[in-house]
Amino acid sequence: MMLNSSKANKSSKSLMRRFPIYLMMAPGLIYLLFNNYIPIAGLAIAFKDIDFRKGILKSDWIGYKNFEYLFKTKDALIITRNTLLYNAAFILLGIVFGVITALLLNEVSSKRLLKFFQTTILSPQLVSWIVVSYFVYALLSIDKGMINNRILPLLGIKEISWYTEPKYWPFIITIMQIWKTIGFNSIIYLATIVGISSDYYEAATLDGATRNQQIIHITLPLLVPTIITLFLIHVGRIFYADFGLFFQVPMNSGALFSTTNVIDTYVYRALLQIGDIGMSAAAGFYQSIVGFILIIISNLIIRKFNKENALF
Amino acid sequence: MKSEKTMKGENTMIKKPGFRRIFTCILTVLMLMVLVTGCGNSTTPGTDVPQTNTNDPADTPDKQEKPAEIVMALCADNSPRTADAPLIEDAINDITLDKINTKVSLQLFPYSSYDQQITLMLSGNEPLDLIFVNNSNYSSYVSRNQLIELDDLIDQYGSGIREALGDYLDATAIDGKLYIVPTIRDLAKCYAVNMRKDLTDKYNIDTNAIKDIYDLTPVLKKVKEGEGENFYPLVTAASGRSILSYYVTYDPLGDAIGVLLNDGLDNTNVVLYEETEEYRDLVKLVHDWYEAGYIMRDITTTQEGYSSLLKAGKGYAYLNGAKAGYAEQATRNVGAPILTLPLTPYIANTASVTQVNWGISVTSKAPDAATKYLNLMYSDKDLVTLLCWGIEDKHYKIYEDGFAYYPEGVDVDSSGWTLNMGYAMGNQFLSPLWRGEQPDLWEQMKNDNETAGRSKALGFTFNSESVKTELAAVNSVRSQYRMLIECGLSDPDSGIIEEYVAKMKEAGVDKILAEKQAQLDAWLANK
Repeated sequence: MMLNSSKANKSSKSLMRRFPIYLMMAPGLIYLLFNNYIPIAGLAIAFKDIDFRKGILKSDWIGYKNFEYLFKTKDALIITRNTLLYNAAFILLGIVFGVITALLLNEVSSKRLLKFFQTTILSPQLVSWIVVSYFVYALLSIDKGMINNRILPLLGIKEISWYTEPKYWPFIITIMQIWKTIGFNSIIYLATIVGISSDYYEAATLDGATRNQQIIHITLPLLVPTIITLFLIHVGRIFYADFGLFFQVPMNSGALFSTTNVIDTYVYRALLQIGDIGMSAAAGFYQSIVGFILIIISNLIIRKFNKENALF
Repeated sequence: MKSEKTMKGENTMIKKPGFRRIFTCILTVLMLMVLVTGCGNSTTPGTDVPQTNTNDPADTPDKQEKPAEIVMALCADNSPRTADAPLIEDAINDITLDKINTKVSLQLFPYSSYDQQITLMLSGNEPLDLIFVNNSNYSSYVSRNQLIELDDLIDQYGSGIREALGDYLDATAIDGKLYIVPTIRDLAKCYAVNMRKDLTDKYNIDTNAIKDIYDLTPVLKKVKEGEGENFYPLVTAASGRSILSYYVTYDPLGDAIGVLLNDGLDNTNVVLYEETEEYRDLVKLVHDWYEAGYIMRDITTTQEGYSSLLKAGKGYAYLNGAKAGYAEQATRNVGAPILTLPLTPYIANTASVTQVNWGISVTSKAPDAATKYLNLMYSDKDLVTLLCWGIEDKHYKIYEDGFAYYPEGVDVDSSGWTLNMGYAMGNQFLSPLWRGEQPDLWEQMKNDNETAGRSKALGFTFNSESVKTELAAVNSVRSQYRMLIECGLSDPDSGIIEEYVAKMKEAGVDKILAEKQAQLDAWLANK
């Protein structure tokens, strides 16, 4: 009895103590509830033939008909391939370059220089894809572009019609994506690195470890949980392509579709004129299901190897 | 180490019930909020009515009945040029409260998101009555049941509409029922080449010799040779649209996937235009122009339309759909005199008639009042003028020559109501002409509308609902090939057209054509 009441006392005390924290959490939770959870019910639209006279709830169920257009042509294969391969490359290269940049930034001792570097690599993140697409256009335009006008003649290469040659675009798109996201990725890693206790490094220095050995045996292993968390977050969105990157940067050029068409751009082009809510909901549903399955699988794999690092 | 860990474990053990309680507390609060907001939504329509009831008798003390309330959703950007929308709304209400005892609320949505806004309002069951409908979304609005049938309403309240539109009104019926009312404007159109007058004079170009698109080759050649390498005689009217999409000799039957050749004047056989010899010849022509340097090489990716290119002195001519008064309009846009030479005859088809229309939302609470208001837009000179040009002596003034223009000290940016959307305001023929137009513009347009050739399928609207899977796939293929082929980048002899057609067939274009033909035949049989 005594024990029980003291327990209750304690818990109510801690409740009082933590109440402000929960209060601070509330706006975020409410936002999540309204923005992310309640709309889940809207997935039903993907299986309905929307009729405004009947309203969304009473519209007819039509099974998988809304999904058919996604798989109608051979393009379905190209789109799926492009979406998955690009995103896989982005995740992999994003981790590699992000970690390398973070390690390099960590080595910069001058505070002012560090600020300068951080600002420089972070600034592309803040530029919208539309603006970026014009940067790229200024470089690649066939008549006026800098590469065709200045750089290629110097190398003695004939001008290239960039916007009609699909073979160059896997590289252009990957480079642009890495250039744009590297700052943000590296900052997350840098934050983890900065948070690593200096005790480890001191001990290692005492034992005579070189800088490289310290990085390989201390920094990288301690970075792994962060890397895995970011990896899982990205894998969950592997079937979502960045519309701005794939639509704006190639300037919607039809000749490039074999290497630039991804699921988001396909859906946009297919439904631009029809404007069918059911069909666009179907595309979103398909994307989230694939993402969901991939996240579960990769988490399972990670849990098998290293239980502590798994997300759930 | 170990003891620390166990301590931590105990700590969490103790805290757990507290956490759970907090969590349930938060959840309960959230649920309550949902309930409250949910209830709020469902009760608003009910509470709204008494509120307006208490307000309105003060406004119109002499009226016994409460005024009906309607919402007109206008497709216009919220910018300084529409800053006086509240004043216009008041002025509209001065007219409508008096004449039809209706209160109109004006809502402006930007062009880019208009459809989305409407869809959101409809799914949220928000008050909405008059919707601006254009020919690209008309059929889907109807197939999704977003608009109500207007036949009875127009018979009852819409005598002005019928009088103004004549038999063109019936041209918009779907399955024999009216869902929209086209605005009065150029109901028939032609396709024309538009060129800068100064260069035309400079190179002594005989404009009388230009009768069809093939006559343009020598003209473009002459200008290209004279103006040099970085000058492109032919530019596209709008970025992202192909050259050939502005030279239309067929009835597109909606989306141009399956068309009637020769503007639908001869027969009613639905064909795939991309398979015809005519298409191949035109592609060949444009390709020759492209190879000769008459068309800019990055035409498929350029973001510049005709006005900036012609203004900058980089272009000479462009193709576009035209109507009486188009040259004056283009001259204003470019800032230099433009000549417009028709390349095709004036034709009325469903697309040209239904280009701009008004419909009444399925969520409308007062369809009667909305129809009465629509009727005023087609018959009341004051209302039309107000919508087109604003308030007299504030936004416009009628000068001695009979033309309307800004009052002294007011210009485009300071006016507060420079919509320039007369074509959308019902019967613009009732409004005064703006300075710079030809004095007989309205008569010319009326004449073109009356004398134009009419497609055999005028009035037929394709309902794509049953083939929308195929349509989505075909649209995707078209977005891949159309610009490339129709801007001249690809040589038609390289087999690209065959590849394009084959891909469309794979996507199911034949099914669309068959469905279109079946619907058209059924429509013709019922006519």
